[in-house]
Amino acid sequence: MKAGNIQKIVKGCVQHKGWAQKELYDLYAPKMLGLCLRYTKNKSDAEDVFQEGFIKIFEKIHQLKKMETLEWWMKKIFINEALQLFKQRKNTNFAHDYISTHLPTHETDGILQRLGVEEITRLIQELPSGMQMIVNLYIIEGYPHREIAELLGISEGTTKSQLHDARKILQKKLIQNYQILSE
Amino acid sequence: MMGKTKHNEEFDKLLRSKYQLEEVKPAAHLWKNIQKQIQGGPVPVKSWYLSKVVLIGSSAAAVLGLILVLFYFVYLKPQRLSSTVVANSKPAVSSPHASELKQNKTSLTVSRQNTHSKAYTSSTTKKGGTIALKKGSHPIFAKTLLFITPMKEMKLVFPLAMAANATWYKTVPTVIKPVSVIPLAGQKHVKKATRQKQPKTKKYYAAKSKQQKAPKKQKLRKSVLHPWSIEAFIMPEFSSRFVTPNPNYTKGIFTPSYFNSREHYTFNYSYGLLVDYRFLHSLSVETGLSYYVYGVDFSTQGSYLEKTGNHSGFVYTSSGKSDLNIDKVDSLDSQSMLSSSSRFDYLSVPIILKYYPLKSLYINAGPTIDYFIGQSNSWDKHDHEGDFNVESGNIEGINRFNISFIFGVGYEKKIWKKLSFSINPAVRIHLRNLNPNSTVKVYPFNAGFRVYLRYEL
Repeated sequence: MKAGNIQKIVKGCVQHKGWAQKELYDLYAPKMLGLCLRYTKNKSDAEDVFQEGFIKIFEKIHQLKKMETLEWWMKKIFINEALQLFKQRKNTNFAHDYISTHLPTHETDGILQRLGVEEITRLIQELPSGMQMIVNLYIIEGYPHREIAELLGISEGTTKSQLHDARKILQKKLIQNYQILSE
Repeated sequence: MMGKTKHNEEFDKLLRSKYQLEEVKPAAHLWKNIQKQIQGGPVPVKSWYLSKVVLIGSSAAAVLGLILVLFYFVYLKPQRLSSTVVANSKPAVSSPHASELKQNKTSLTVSRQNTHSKAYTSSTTKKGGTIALKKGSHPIFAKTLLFITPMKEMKLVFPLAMAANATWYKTVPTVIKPVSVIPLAGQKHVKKATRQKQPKTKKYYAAKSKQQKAPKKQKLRKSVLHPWSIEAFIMPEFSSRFVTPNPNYTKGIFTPSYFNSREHYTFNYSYGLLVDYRFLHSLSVETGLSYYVYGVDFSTQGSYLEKTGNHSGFVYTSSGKSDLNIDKVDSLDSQSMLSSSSRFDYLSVPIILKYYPLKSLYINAGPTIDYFIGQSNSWDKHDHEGDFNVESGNIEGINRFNISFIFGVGYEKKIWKKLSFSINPAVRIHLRNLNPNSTVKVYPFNAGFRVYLRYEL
């Protein structure tokens, strides 16, 4: 999609043109729904976040100043919606119960490569909510620990330890999942 | 430990790569739900000022309109010399027809007929010499020509005025002689003057110009009988700003260019009621009370930030206070998308002097004292959750008093008995920093046009 076309679509959205809103939706909906699925526990929640996010985007698109940051801006809105849902449900579960201290970590990379995105998303969804957020924000989005701590209202040390634990859980789940699939 | 960290990085990288092209096709009902919501949902509030394009377009149209009005009244419809002038004109000369004038090979003559069936003729000899007022010259140029009459060297004086006059009458006026007076519509053609081959002396033209000036004075004296008038005006203004760093607050955080490049031209306005006292036929002073709104729109798209380790801050200008959410100092350019808009309200007392070099044209200039009465500010806070929350509040430390200087030129036209209309392109320069607490010194500069109705008391 050319930058000029994006600009035209955004301009149309600012003017509440139906065609422009549909174009923007068609252009970004698949990507954003994938993002919503990663940040939520199930499809139903993801769709709620997805809908709310798009409504917010259409309402606030006139605030967008730079066209080149459109995708980043949209992502931020969806992430924010997901965080709101996370806070509303008080799913601040940062449990350590799943952690096994000794995992054959070198094997997990190979398994991860073989698994599809849907499978990995499901594994991430199975993480405790807090960990799910940290994995998404740190590993996928590249947020710094300090900002994640502020977003989730926890200390920076906690996010680091949670991330460490989340990795372990994910690796453990990858092996379990692979074993099930192999059988 | 190192190996563990490296493995974590690889794991993260691998996981991230899986999501680079992550796409999930949404169900059809999702768009229908969204569509339903947005069609019945709230419409985003539009900014309080009009769009820049509309404003620039309208002001350009207004300026063009003004030029056309001036052109029409000043050039196409020059004022007829009064009957007194005609009566006093000496010597009486015959009124040659255009065809007759054209036949005179020693002079170049152009004849022009306007809607009032009044002809203006202009003739010049090829020999150079002094310049004199001539019926047919436009009053503006006539005045200019009279002024320069004593000067024998034309090349040295007002070449522009000469050229403009010459362009209009398709001739270069070197020596101009009185040639004719054309009767008003319905009157008989009366022979008033005759064309003379020899150019008149300087003394003659000086005497003639004195005669022609006399009735004008009478007319002006008449206007002094009604020196008081009231004016209701409105003045749309475009604003730009002169910004310089405030030494009290400059700590290497922001550069002036940062503010200049990112503050948008905005639409301001003022309106009010003034009392005008014309104490001389060509001078008047006006004062009164007006309401002046100064607004500014500001958006951050990047900044120079001192690398002191601060990773958050705020922009504090007369535009409003905007929090900056800075993830990485180096990536601020692409990360920050904040905007704010402010509106400051003032009660203004202008003291404007108006000088009328011509009956309908004036130059005005003078100070206005602005008293700060209120403000409304809103800004987008781009919070840590990536949301744009609109916040509002007051800016502390705005100066209670400001002094601005207004100057411009205007055209005034009597539209009905004692009622006059005027359009007055003008600029307003703030002479005092709006907000001494700001990191920069801000001196707004407005350009606009004042439109008013004046009623003679």
